[in-house]
Amino acid sequence: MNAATVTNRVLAALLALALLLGGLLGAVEIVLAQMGREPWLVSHESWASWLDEQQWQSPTVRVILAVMVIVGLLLLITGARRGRPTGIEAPSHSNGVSVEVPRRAVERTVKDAASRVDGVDQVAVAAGRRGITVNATTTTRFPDAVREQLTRAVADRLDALDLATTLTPTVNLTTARTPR
Amino acid sequence: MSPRVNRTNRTVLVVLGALVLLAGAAGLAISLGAGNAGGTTLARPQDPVWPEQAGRYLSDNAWVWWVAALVCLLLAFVGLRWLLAQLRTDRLTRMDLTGSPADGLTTLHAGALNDAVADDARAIAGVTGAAAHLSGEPNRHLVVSVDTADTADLATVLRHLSTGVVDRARAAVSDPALPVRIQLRPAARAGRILT
Repeated sequence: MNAATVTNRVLAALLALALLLGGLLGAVEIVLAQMGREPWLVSHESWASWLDEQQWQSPTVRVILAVMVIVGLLLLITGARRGRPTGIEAPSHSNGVSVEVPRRAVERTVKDAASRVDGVDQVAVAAGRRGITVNATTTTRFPDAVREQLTRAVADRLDALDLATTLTPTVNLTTARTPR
Repeated sequence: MSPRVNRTNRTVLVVLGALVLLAGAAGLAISLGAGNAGGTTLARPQDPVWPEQAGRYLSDNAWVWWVAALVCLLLAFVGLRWLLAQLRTDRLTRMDLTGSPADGLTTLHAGALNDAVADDARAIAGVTGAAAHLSGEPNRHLVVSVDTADTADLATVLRHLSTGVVDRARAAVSDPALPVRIQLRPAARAGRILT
């Protein structure tokens, strides 16, 4: 599961709970009101009288509508977001057998390959659907040589994985200051 | 986790988001005086949000409230189903291997198959760890996750998995076409490349 799926699941659980409780509360309050009983949790009379006084141009109404626009937009973006892939396909030579390398495993092994390059201090790797980004830092006085080795190490490791999708590597090397 | 639930969540969030966004935007348009579209005035900014006619209609037609109560109950039921769906996983706990009902019922506990497949995969040179589980979505299939050693040749490991392990698993469940998904997890290596 990627982060987008987890976010969607938490949001879905919260919305489902709100729907369940809101629906039950609404049904109970309507039935109580129709039977002429006292409200349970929400005083529909005060709520209705407040609503009667509101005009479209009221500041409170505008704030509520603006919040609706923002919340709707956030839900739309959250739901439409695909997130990063959980796995990257690898070729299979058997019928009915599919092979994938989990994205985190790809990131881990590429990070390891990059870390083994002499002169590289810190490495962060992020794989997407089409590419993989390697951000590394070095304190060496010869960053060009390190960059060349780093690029080659990343490419070699990706070749060894033999993925079905070609992940285009992007290598960013930052030169950090050497502590005196 | 169930992929079908994930798809449902995304769809519902998108639809719900679009509805809330459109309702809010339409209300804001009216509030800012843009509700006069194409010569037809929907509402003016100084109009009440809850029109008097709507209140009168509801007072004269009490049945609308009962319908609203039913709709609320329906929404609560949908919310309950959606909430319970979040707990659903795609893993199967048993597999029906009954060939002919006349011969009796045959059920395979998925745990037994999972353990056997994992043990079989661990016996391959270069494999340091393995796990397996039966999944029910979208169709019934076996998932085999394999950790490989730093010295392992992935192509060789994959060949042993695709032929030996998968063939034996398929034979065990009498399903030569059982779809299998292999997850390869290459290990980190030690050592450094000198520049």
